[in-house]
Amino acid sequence: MIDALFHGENYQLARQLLDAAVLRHQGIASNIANAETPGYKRVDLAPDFTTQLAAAMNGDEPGSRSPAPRLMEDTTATSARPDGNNVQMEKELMLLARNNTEHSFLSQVVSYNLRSLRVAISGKSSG
Amino acid sequence: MLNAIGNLTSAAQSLPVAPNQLERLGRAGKPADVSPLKGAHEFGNLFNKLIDDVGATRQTAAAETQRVMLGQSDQLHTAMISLQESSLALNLMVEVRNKLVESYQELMRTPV
Amino acid sequence: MDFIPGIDAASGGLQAQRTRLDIIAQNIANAQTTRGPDGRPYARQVISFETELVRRLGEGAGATALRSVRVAGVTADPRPGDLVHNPSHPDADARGFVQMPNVNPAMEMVDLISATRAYEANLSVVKAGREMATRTLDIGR
Repeated sequence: MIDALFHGENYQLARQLLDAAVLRHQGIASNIANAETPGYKRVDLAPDFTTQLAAAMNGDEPGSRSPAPRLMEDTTATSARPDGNNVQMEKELMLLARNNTEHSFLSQVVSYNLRSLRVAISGKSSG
Repeated sequence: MLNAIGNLTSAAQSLPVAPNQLERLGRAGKPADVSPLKGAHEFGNLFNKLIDDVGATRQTAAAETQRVMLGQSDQLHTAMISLQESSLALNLMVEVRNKLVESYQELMRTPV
Repeated sequence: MDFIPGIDAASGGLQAQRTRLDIIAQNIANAQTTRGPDGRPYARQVISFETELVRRLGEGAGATALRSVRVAGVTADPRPGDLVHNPSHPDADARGFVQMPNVNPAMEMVDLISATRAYEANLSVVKAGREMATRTLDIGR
């Protein structure tokens, strides 16, 4: 019974996306720290993560139960430097801000779901 | 939705039955066009409608939020607003229910 | 343990850029040093970076390495500096030429700006990570 409380679709989705957002932030941190390191290749979330999540939600592929987010080398990034480093600082900073906003939104969704449960259970509407 | 709330509150106010209507009940002997009972029906319908309305806001919020989370929409503000609206709607419904329970309990305490 | 996400990677970056700034400052300060402790003109110092493994994220096949950066070494720039004709200089050679350090202040300034921006970028990472952690603590409230 307790378990069923937290089975909401959006709630589960938001939680997994939160994991992904934190992981992505760490990837961006690594990229920015190594912006000048010779030969370093930028990393990011595996691009198929969102599609995998959506598929798992709709039950399209029976085997794909909640895929785990992972970081991998970004194959689409091009290198403009002779030493092979393909980090572009402006792009990383932009992704940093965007990921931060996404994290904020997702934690709001999680909070909303938890608060609704609390209001429904206790009959006390909080401000 | 605000209309429904207005109607609800006036219906709730008429719960303790007005004296002249009670008289009519006693004299006529039959419910026919008795306002309190009719009020109770309307009242029940209104409350059901409130529940439906709140449910609808939650559906909208869930759908909009999911679209943003899956990357199908970048309108963050739409999702945020629908989340807050639905949260407020739930709070409102709970408050109305609490007030009703309170009034009912007070009514039951009235010495006959 | 990374309660503030990304801080392990960013702190490596901050330290590395800080060291780089120190080296640049040293170069600029010694742009005119024609005689160092070893009797020779100051040689421009060049910093080099390399990645440093912070820890592994996840386990097994899906594990990726979270990498920060560290200073690989500081080496002397071997290129010779300018020869300036200045017979009255105490370090002038027999022909009246002075061997100046191979520091080009303009180049050092460009490098300085680049290092500053890299430092600030790492600061942004820490700031964003801190915001994320603070927000996380408020979930459900």
